[in-house]
Amino acid sequence: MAYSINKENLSSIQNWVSFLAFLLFFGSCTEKAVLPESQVFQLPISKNLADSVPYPTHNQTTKAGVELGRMLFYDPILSANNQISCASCHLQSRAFSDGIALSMMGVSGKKLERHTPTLINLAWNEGLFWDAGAKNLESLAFGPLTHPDEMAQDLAELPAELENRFDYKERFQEAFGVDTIHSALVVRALAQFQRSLISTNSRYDKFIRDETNASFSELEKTGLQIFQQKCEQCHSGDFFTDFQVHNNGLDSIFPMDFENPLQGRYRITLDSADLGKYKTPTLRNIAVTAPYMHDGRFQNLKEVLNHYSSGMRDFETVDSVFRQTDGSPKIPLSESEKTALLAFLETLTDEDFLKNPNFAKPDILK
Amino acid sequence: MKISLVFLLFLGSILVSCDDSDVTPESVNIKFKFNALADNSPLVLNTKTYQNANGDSFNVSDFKFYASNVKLRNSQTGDEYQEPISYHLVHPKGDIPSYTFELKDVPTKAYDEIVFFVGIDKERNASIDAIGDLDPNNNMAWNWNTGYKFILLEGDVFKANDEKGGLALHVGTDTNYKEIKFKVSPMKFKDTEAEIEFDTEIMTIFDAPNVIDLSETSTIMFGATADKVAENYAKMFTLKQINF
Repeated sequence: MAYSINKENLSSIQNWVSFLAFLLFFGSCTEKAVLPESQVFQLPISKNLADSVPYPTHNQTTKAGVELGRMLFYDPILSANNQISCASCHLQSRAFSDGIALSMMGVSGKKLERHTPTLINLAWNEGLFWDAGAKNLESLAFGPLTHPDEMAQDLAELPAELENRFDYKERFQEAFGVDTIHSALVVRALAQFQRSLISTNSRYDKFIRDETNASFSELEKTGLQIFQQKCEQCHSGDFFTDFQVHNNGLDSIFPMDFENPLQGRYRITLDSADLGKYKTPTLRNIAVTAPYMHDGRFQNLKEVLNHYSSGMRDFETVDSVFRQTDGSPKIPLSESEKTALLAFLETLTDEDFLKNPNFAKPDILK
Repeated sequence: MKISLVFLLFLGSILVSCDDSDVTPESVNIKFKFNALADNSPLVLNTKTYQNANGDSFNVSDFKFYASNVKLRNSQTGDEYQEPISYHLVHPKGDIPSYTFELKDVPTKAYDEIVFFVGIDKERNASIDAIGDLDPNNNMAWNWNTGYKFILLEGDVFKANDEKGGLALHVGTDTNYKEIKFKVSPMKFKDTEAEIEFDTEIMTIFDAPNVIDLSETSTIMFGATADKVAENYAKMFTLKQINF
């Protein structure tokens, strides 16, 4: 039988019911979820971002699920040496990035090949990782969990470790209605927590929503205008990303060995049109998430703007949006325009997000 | 007289029991058995060296694949049985390597088609948060490029200069989800247990219809060569027998 859940744990009729219900909602992404509507948790959100937070039907958001996900996110039990948690590299104060170009925080101590991305408004992303290779949050976390240079966790051992720690057994029961922990449920809980990491309360948001006491300086207003003219083609809407992949002219030579992370989206599609393409990162909280780009090559936002104005390297997959009339790729920016843009980008910092106690390390792990 | 009566009763009971065996049960449990063969003999893991049509020498340390969405169908009446939640990691083991899974409580109809797929359907292949046969812990999921390996064959390739290279066929992606279909004479179930037995010839993966060249690269995961391997594995099954 394909879905053999540990049967000795399923002794009572009640357990069988939850087992069958679990199979039902597990069985197909299009099936109705098992959880009663009353448990489904509407994450708080502002209208300028979206009307509601999307989630897959097989992993509806619940309070218990989000809270369990938060605990797992901060718990080093999820790594091989029990010393590294998701939060070791995803720091709330940096919008869940780490301030390091390429981290060596993993179990092996080996330098990673890509920069730790922020975790902001992920619910709307269709692809995750810099190359959008992970198709949803429910699949994403298996990557860092098991990668030998990241958390290096043996998935076969993880459920037993969790069953013997804190009140995880009860928490999984509450969140998913099952008595047996599976790594799939660990990742689902993490997905629920990550979906709750919503940033929509920056000075920009308050200004756009026309809230009282919300104002922009003249420089910030100028910056917003320049942004709308020259940046929002990719960093679009109030998500400040189009969720697509683009080549923004960082490199003109790409390694062609199998699975090389520096190939960009090509690594996933093996389509040469995707060489050097990476996901457009959101610009929310951009002022606190240096260094920048998939490899953290730029130390500050001024370097980023200088790249676009005069440092882009040409390659056939560079996005056509950058092409000037002479064919060269760039975003023409004067020094005063850069100053205004930098002032505007600062308004995207969301202190409520960076300090939200619901996103912080739970007391039990302090 | 007395003896004759006993004899008649005895005879009657035989007849009744013969009648019984002709009554079709309402449902049947059907085993699907897959034998792993190489060169028409049971696959020998690790210790035996094989040669493909391209002339490459190799051995096999592991072989497994997904058989999914198993169906039995009557092409005349349209009667169809589809196993619910039908994903099986076929992992042949043992001296004569084989793997068996069972379809439970299948309505006994005169099915004349057996259908299953190698791989995972597109909807299911878009997320790897699964348990049981689809658990990522089975070393059949890609986590950096979401989806399942539909087939995994690993071992060593032996080069001319006695060097050894890794052999890794990890083939998946939606385009390589392959339907396997067998037409059979209408099934007539006599018992509540039945078995359908397939031979799975691994040399076909390397040789037919596409000859796979392992001398250049013996790591085959994505791209044109992987697609050719998939065309081959779609042909690796033969229906050996059906026991009712």
